[in-house]
Amino acid sequence: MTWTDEELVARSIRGDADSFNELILRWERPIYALAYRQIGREEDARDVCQETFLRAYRALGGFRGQAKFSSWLYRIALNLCRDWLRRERRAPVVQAPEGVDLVELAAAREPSESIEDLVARQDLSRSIERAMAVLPEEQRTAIILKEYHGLTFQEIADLVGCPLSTVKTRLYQGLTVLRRELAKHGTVETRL
Amino acid sequence: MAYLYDDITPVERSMFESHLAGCARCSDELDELRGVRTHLAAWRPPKPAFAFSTSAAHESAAATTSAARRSWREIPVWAQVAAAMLLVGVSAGIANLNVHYGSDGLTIRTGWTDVARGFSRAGDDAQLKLRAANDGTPWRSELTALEQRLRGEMRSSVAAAPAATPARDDEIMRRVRDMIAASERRQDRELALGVANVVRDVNASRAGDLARIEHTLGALQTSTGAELIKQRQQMVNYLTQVSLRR
Repeated sequence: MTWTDEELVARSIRGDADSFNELILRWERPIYALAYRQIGREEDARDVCQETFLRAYRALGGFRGQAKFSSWLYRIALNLCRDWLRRERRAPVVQAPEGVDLVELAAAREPSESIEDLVARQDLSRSIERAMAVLPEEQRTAIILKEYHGLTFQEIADLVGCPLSTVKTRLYQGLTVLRRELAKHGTVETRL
Repeated sequence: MAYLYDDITPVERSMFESHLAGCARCSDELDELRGVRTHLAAWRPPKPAFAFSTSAAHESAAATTSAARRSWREIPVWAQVAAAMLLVGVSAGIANLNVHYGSDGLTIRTGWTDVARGFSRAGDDAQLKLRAANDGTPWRSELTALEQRLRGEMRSSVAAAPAATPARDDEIMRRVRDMIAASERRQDRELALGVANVVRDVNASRAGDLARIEHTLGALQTSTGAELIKQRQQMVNYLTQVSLRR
């Protein structure tokens, strides 16, 4: 039987350790991906991911279910990412490519992907990472939550605490900047 | 934005599509933003190597002995009973437990005092003396009841064992999936190493070939130069002879 997140939370509160493990299994990758895209550093993203679950576990008793568990978790992770960025006083790190490591390439390759396709995808990935690092934090957050986590405008608005129209504006502005940045590096063509 | 992300009501969609049909600028911009979104899909975080395993994180978060409690719960009841009985037996041995049932009733005595002083006498250690009021052997029925209860628990624990199987199956499946994923990663790495070796061999071979070609060209140049000098010398000799004849 598959439990919902909220059911697993209730079971965890009652002392079922396996239920919280199940929640971690479900959400560790999305939370890690969110943290990585926010701060751009693999090691720190893992730390943020771990800290997110630790805080969630400690505060589990206070979770009343007004919001979805995932939204609650995202909020914790975003706060931690914001703290990290402010502590480091800098924009997200763009990890510089150091040549092409065939071993890493092969590990990252999708089963149906050729090495050439993989290299092209990684080049594009780095271009996007660079372009995203240019964005102001609130625009980057909006794009990450929308593009990579599929949240609705309303969910993003609730999560970051701003009006829905502001979320749309941030998305539009962010995508426009991205288009310009990617065009600057020849990744996309633009007619504007 | 709402149209771009398909987070829009049907009415709004219809209105916007009507507008798009007559507005080339908006249509172009929409296409470009879609293009950006397509590119964004290429950005994937590196695969995490979670040192943070699920149970480890939880246990450290809880900072309790939940794992110990869980593993204790996983031990069947009959084994727990057997362990408890063993513990009682060992404790009794250590405490030098003496049980005596005679005409004066049931006497339980512990401690390492002199046995010869008799069971009925009050000892220096803890001594418990129970007397049966009516029946001569009341403890037999109690022991029988205890035995039946233990047997019942053992039977129920055996019957309950299959119920725990799905959770264990899930755990096993998860481990198997992890092992398969690890195996795939290992194969990918081996493949990559193989590719790297091939690339290295090709490069070494190419460098060797280039060196040989260079050497051959050098030899050719040397021999060609010598030939040219020889021909030039012959030409000079010939011209000298001709001029002398004249």
